[in-house]
Amino acid sequence: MATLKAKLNLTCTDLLSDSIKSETTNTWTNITEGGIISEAIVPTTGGAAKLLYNLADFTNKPAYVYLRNTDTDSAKLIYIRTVDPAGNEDNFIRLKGGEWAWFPWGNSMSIKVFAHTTLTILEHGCFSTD
Amino acid sequence: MATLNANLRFKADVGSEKTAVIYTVDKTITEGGLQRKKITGTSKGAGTVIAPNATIAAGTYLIVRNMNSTKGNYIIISQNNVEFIKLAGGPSGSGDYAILPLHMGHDIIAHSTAGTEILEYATYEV
Repeated sequence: MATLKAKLNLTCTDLLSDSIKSETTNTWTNITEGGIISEAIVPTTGGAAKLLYNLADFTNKPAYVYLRNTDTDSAKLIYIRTVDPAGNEDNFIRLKGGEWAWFPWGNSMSIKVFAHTTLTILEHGCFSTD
Repeated sequence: MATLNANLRFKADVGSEKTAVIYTVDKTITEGGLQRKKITGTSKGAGTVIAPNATIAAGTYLIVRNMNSTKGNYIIISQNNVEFIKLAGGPSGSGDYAILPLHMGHDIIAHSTAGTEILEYATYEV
């Protein structure tokens, strides 16, 4: 078993009358699978999107997904799509260059990816239990 | 205009080499705020719209956190009938959270296991 610890700090001091400051830490001590890789995303259309994580490999497993568009150009978008068991696809995350996302996977759909510009690099990881 | 600073750190020892990642992003934002809401609907159809497609722009950051203290009391986030985030509860405010820039195109909906879970959430339009 391995341990995964994720900590999120949010601060915003100048939007509202009062500052916003939020800190959350999640720790999981039963992680058995996972890692982070960098991958060049070749497809540039939703129809050709590449399968990133397959629901069949993670059914009934709590899993946490990390995604980051490593490009420095904010115009080089990476799109993350959901694929439900019937095969219906929909975009749900749009990462500009430099943006990232973290979420506990719903385990009810597969995840696909395509890029605005071919060969944009996505850094991604999925951590789960058996 | 205002600035939202988000800092994510995570560490894992799942492989032979430990993984430690720290990423920070500063976003210039025009609208947003942090609020809590009881998610009373226990199915997608009865869920609460937390980010309406009609008023939320693509690229808006969504931040969600389950405040329930029971691990098995989930809050599920969905769009277009697909459940894509499943937030477990946790003791002392340590429930699951998520942060992501939305593509939009559909309402973002939250429903819960018991109908009593509190969701802390924010949308920050960049």
